[in-house]
Amino acid sequence: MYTATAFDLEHAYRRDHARLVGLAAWLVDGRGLAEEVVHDVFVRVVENPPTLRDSEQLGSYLRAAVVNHCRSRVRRLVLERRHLKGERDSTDPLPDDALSEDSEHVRAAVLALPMRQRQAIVLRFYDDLTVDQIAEALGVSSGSVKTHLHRAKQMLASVLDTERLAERSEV
Amino acid sequence: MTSLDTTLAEAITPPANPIVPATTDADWARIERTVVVRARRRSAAFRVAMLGFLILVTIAAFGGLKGSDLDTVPDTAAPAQAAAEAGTSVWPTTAEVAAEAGERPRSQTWLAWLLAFGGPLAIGVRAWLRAPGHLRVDVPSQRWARLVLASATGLIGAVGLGIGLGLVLMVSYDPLAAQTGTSLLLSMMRVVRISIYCLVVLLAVAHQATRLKPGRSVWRSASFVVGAMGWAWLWMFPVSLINQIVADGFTWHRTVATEGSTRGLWRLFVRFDGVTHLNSSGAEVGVNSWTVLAFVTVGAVGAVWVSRSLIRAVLVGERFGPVIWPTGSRRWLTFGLVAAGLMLPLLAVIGRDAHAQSVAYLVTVPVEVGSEDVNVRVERNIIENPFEDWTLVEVVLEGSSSRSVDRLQELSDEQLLRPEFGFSERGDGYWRHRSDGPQTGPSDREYWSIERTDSAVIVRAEKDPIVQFDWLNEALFASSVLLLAGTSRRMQGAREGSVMGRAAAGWLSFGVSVWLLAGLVRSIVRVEELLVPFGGSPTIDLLDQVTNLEVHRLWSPGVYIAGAFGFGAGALVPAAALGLAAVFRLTNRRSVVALLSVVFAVVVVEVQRRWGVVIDVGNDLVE
Repeated sequence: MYTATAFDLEHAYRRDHARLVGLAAWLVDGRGLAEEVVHDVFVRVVENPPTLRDSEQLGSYLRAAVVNHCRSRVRRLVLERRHLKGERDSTDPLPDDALSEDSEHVRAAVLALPMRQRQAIVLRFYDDLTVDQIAEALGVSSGSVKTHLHRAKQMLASVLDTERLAERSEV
Repeated sequence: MTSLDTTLAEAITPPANPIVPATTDADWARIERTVVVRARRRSAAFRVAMLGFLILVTIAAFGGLKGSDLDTVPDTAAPAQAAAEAGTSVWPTTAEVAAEAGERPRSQTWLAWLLAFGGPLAIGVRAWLRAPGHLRVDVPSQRWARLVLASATGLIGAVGLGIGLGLVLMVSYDPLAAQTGTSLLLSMMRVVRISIYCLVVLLAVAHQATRLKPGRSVWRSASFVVGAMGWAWLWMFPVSLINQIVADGFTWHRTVATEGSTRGLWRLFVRFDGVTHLNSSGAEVGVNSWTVLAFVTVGAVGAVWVSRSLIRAVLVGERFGPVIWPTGSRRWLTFGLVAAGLMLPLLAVIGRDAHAQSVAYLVTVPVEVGSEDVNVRVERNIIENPFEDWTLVEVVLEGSSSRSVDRLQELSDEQLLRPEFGFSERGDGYWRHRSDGPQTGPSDREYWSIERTDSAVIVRAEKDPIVQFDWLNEALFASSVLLLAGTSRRMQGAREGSVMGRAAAGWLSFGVSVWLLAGLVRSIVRVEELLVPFGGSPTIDLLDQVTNLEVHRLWSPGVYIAGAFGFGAGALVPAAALGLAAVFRLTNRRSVVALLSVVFAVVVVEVQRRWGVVIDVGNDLVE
């Protein structure tokens, strides 16, 4: 068994921070929030270093932690927005030049997905994970992941004009 | 790869992602700084908890020391004889003994009440001020609302907790037990036990309070506290077990539980020792510290939750009531589980009817006979079957030497019925003559039969069941567990909200209704029970009787209302939720721990049942 040391975590932070923030940014609405999520995750793992099978697992562990923490934050955001409607926009939109127009279109569609479907899609395409790897990260069965991916794609297909987007990307 | 896959891959893959600034040393330093700050905050919470604990220990010690001045064994024969002649109560009430000793009964309880409010108040206010929740600190128009919310909920929670702790302390102090001397150490041990419970609860709450931070919702914060109570409940198993194993070193008080049914797990939760308590004044306590503690903890949490919901409903316009209702096809599954939860009490009744409860006590006590003390070995066998309306108590008294046997034989019938042997009399003729079989009615005032052999004296008595509706505790617990099945987010189809907190709180209102109804029924039964010895006549000075029975104070409507908020759906629910989560999905470490806790509890009960391991120390010498 392997218990992550502070040195390992600092190394992982420098290595994976950007990637994890990017991942979180697809799961929560706002880059500031994504950075906050990753920050919280690292604070927690520094407080309670995880014990893993081997050091190779640390990256997967951090990814799963970020995904789970994003889910918690989204739940809270939903409540906050319900009560703060009209008073303050709690989202932290990405800078205008951060995403292309097409990516922004896709991003809006992905963010509209239910959380599980969103997680499955993002892990599939952002981290290029297999179904089994996604299942492990989400703590669900492979069958559930396939279902989530299928439904997510159905929903995205109904929202996105994929042919037009594909043509534009080819151009 | 489809065009959709291509589109998604191009849009989502990292090169298309927002540019994240490079990580700097300052970023990592910020994380380390946060860790340090959180550690300090935990330390501060721990200090608050310790302060509260010290206050409680001080109160407890005060109560225990109070009895040390009264360590003479009273002459029990004279008042018994006088009472028999007068046709009144054989044993004096707590109030009478206290008055005889020149003190007001429980005169120190005001201090307990006063001090018990301190710790919880501090913790409650501190925790809630740290939990602004939806009422954001940075939204000026909501600052006043936040202040009201935090103050009101903290205060109400503290009051609930304080009342509960006060009740615990009131129950734990027994002037007559202290006066007989034999129970002094026992009382002290009970004080220690209760103090340990309080410490566990306080630590659990303090631990959860450290998780509160600005911006975190009150909703989640409340769920954390509820969760903490649930965890405290589980943590008490090993704590209590260790306490009892250590206490077993005092061989003068040894309890051998030979409970013959498999309902021990429920008892472990609800009525740990499995017997009904009477304190030595004969007043039926009827609840043990577990049950009282349940009222304490979840009563406070429930009060906080309800008050918070009410305030939020007024201030923020949030809907009051269950947050999550089952939807879609899962509704029927949920309702089925709820129905099963409601049916289980009936099964509990049936099960109980089939198993007369048998509990044996083995105690050695010093007894003053004439001018000398002799050691008498007391074995008490209690067979209880409330649903057939009888309880048989057989007490075998054996002298530890031939001399003590001789002395024992010299004791008159009245002298044998002394508290040290486990006989208590509530003053209402509840003990019946064994040889005549169960009888009812006020005329039947002979309540024992005594058989003298060469080596022992056997006293048999039959009486009405003390807790006629004891099964309610178990049934409500079982109902809670099954109701909890409906709190699984998966089953309820809830799209959002924390599994434990939101769902548990959602069902809380339902649990309140059930519990209040049960309390109402029980209260009515209690009143009727009071009237039985007097032929059901309503002309009896009921108030006088009630004041002599602490249990009736405990079960008063006010206590029910305080305790109702959540006993079933409060403390036990999160614990059981975690257990269920472990059953359904063994991926959460906390869930696994919860499952192991349940397994541990089952093992403990089974060991107790099969091999008679000493499981409970700290009860009164009396039933």
